Amino acid sequence: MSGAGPGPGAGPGAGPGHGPGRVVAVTGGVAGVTATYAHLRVLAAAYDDTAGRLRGWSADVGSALLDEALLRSAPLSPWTFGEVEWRLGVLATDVLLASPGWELDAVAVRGAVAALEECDALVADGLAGLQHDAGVLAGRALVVAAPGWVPVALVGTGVAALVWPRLPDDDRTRVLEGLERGLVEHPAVAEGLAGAGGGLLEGALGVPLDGPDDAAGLLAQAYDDGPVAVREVPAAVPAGADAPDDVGDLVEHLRQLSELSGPASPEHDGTFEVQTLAAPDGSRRHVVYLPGTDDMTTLPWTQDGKARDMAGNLQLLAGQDTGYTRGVLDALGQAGVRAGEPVLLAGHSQGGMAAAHLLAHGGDAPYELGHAVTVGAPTSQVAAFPEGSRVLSLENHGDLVPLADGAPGRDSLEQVTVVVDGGGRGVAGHHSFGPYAAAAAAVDASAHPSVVAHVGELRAAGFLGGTVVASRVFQVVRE
Amino acid sequence: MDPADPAAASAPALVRSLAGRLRARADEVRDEAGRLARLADGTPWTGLAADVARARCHERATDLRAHAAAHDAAADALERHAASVGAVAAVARAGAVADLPRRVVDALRDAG
Repeated sequence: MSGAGPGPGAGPGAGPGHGPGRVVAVTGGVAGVTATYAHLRVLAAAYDDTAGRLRGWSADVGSALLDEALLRSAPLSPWTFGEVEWRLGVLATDVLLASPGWELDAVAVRGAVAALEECDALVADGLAGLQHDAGVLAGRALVVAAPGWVPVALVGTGVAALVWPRLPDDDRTRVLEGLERGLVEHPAVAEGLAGAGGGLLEGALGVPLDGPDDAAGLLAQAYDDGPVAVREVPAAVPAGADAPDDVGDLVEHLRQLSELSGPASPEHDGTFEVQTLAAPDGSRRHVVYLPGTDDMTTLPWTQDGKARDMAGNLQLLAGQDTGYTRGVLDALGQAGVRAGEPVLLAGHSQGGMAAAHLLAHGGDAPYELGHAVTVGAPTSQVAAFPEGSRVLSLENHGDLVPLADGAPGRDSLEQVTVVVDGGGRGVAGHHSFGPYAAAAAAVDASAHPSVVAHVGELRAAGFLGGTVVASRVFQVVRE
Repeated sequence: MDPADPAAASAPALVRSLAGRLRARADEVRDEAGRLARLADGTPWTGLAADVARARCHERATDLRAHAAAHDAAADALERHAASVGAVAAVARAGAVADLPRRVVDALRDAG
């Protein structure tokens, strides 16, 4: 998604050069709950190892007890031999008896982890189920009560249509701003509505839909998902000449690239960039910059050559490939990306969704898609990221787009989600690049262990720093 | 074993090597106790269950240190035994040397 435009409407604290936003929450990574559970499993394994060692040590003491030289020396000093045998016998028994205790503790620790995970899953399922059921009830109620509310709504809409143009400009602005403010100030409500969306459609249409992804999939079927063409275009942004030094540089690069395909230059819709970096040892890595939606108003009958349209948002939310994701893989081949060369996918809005999708589902592609940075993008539609991959997700508090998946950021070792109060005005302003520049600055300044580790891994992988070898802009269009 | 048997002379060294192995094992057990206690303390887990598990680990680590001390005590006992066996064998060897002239005389007399 996107449509917010790169710069305007950013509000207080927006624009390059402003200070970092306030970190509201960090989920996942090395300090997340999943990491804690992993630590506990390591602890349980250590207890088991100790139990095994204790059995081995007991056997060793038993061997000493029966040592031939020791036994043969017994007649020479029976009293001291007796003491030795007594001590070794007690020691072998005590050490052996200590072993099951450690094993029991290992079982207890594993049990605690299983119980905590089960409880987490139950509560999460329960909350999601409640949202879904509320949506189903609302959907059914809408259908059952249609004879009552449809005429009222028609009349109400008619009255509103008559009254609305006659309202003073200030009042109209106040009403719209009030609605907008209500949503951005209470993002959890918006997330709950998104979570209930599947249930609402299920209740209204009578088709079983589990969540927003199912609902999006149903809507996406109305659109055509035909082939796309990808070609390199003679375009560039200033940031293309510089290697990113931090997360702030990645976001600024995305801003410039999004501006390239802004509303004023529709001829550049569908453009994205593959930047190739070289490390001092000559090894290469690539950063793919993926802007967001070019057309938020696409209807099934208005679909055109724009590959980054509303259909793409719905397909990605439903966990499906899109022309955009297929185009990115095509471009990697055209850019000469070789197997084994690390690739970072950095995307804003729909670009972030595409990055997350490619990381999760790009396993068949001959590329090392191991890192992603998502900016203002929903990612919970991806069930799980590959083990060992790294995803850094930036969300501006009040930005509704990352909430479209209807679920909070998932805690996993692979993904760290940083929610930052980066400011902004209105729905579009919260989703624009100004607040996200503040969010990126907050991430770069953060001392949170999960954030530090994830940013450190981006640096260690060579995506921050290095020398720019090439920068190519590609364009994907529907054929 | 006859105290005068040459094997008796080597027994103290063999018993001392057993004691050395037990002392090395005592150090290993102490290291294990410290490692487990540090691992439990360093695990980022909070709450009542975490406190109980951590306390249990420290109790068991204390037991491990007691086992280490018991290894040392057994090693000490082996050292004492080795010393005692060595002393007995030495006395036996000394007795045999002192008795040598008498044995030679007895042997010559028997030979006629």
